[in-house]
Amino acid sequence: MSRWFATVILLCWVSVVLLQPLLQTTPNQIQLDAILAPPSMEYWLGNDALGRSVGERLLAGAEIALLVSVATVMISALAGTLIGALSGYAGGMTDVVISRIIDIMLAFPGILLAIALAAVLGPGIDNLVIAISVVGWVGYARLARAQALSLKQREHVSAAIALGSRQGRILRRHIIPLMLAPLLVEASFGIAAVIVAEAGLSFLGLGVQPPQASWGSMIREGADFLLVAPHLAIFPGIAIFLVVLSANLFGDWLRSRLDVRDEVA
Amino acid sequence: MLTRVMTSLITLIGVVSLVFFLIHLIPGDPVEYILGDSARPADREALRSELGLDRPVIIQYADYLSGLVRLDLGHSLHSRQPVSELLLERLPATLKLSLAAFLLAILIAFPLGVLAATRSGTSWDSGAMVLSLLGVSIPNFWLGPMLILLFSLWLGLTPVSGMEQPGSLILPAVTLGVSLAAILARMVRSSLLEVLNEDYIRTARAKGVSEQVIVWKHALSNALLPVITLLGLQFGALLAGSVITEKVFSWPGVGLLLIDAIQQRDYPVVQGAVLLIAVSYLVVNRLTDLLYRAVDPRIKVA
Repeated sequence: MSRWFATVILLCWVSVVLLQPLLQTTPNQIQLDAILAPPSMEYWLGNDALGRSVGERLLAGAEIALLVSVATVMISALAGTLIGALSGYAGGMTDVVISRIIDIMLAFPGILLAIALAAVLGPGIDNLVIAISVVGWVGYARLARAQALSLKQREHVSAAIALGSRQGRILRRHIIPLMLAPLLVEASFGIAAVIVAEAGLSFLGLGVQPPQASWGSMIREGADFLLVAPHLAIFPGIAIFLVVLSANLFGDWLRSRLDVRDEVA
Repeated sequence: MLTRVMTSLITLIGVVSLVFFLIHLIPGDPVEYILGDSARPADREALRSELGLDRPVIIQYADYLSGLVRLDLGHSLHSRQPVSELLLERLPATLKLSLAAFLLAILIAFPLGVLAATRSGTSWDSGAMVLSLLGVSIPNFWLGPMLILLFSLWLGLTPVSGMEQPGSLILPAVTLGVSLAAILARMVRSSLLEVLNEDYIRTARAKGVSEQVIVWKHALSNALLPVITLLGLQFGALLAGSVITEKVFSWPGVGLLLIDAIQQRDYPVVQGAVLLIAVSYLVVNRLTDLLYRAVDPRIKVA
């Protein structure tokens, strides 16, 4: 049941973003005669303080959320996996130095580091992706390091060494492919975490800048009109909640599914 | 023990340095950023030398470290007050909020987790876990405004923001505590389930000990150990998470100070606030680690 719910929500999210060019939405269009219009037949989800359509801004926010989460998760998963695998496989001084850096990064509360980075880098989508990736790679690195440490003891790696494979080839062909399952699970929880981080930073005014719409900045703008126009803050929150919940459910499902396969192997 | 203290110290120095280089090595000139394009060159130079930015980075770094030892974090560019003074003013509010959220989370999570574990597989269990999943998935910057809408604006039960009025602590504490409660409930459940399957519990059952005593006395005391570690980690995370909650409720703590300082481009204050939260997080985590070792004698052997 929950699996279908999650799949439907995530598919809706992605298809809405992909179909957006066909819908010809105008999320930044100001309509003075529709300021703070409540949801109605004419204005589906109501309009905001500048008379902009909340529904169309939600769609625009969906695009930002998808763009930022996919980009951030890809960058941090790739960087983290490579660094972690290298650290675990190489051992020695490389491992000591990388492990210490990972420890220091983990000793820093993630959201605080992202806030500080976003503040120093200045607002904007690219800086948002950079700030969250700088925080995000550590989790993947720790996971990949632990995996590489145990995988390099396996017989097929010894066999590859005995056959004279180069180090890079062993890492690329014999170690990294085997650590993909747990990393995939981590990445699907990562999507949820990045959406919350993006919305949180945008809520604080550190992410997506006006007039562009983000779910987080919509909640922030809506918080000023809670009494007269509660729909401004309610709808973007529901969107974040549904997508984050679905990504978490999907991660849960993936984890149980992939663990079963591990046992069979 | 000694090596643990040493690695903690190295990590501490790492965190402190990270904060410094974060602010100083990022491309872009803070002076430009603070004063804007139209400032006079003389004013820029004055600010540059006031911030000490005209000296080599290594000297600045040494200066920063020696200032830290004397608890001197510089002065606010905005109010001219010493940063350490500003932080001390705001710290009690943040601690009050975090502690309240922490206690609230424990009060919700333990009954929920025990309920789910002792009735595992029933609809009680799945109900508790659904609640927990919902709690993890609700972002606090949305939960906060929704609680204000419901309890302050519609029902008129609690103040909207600030911390002067009675009852003003309730909504911020709930907002901050819900996700911790959700994580904690899951942890209590899985930890208790594991212990309930152990041999000594079966022995106790065979002796005819009542289920109540088994759960609350025999099982829970052992199930709590891994939970303690999580609690320590999460209390630190609460300190960081309070940044957003403080912003939502205009709660006058360190987090709100940080956000305001970011908006005013008051770098010494930003640096000081980030440092304070990060160092508290680290210290709480390491203390928990030590406490955990003290509570569980099995770890010393290992």
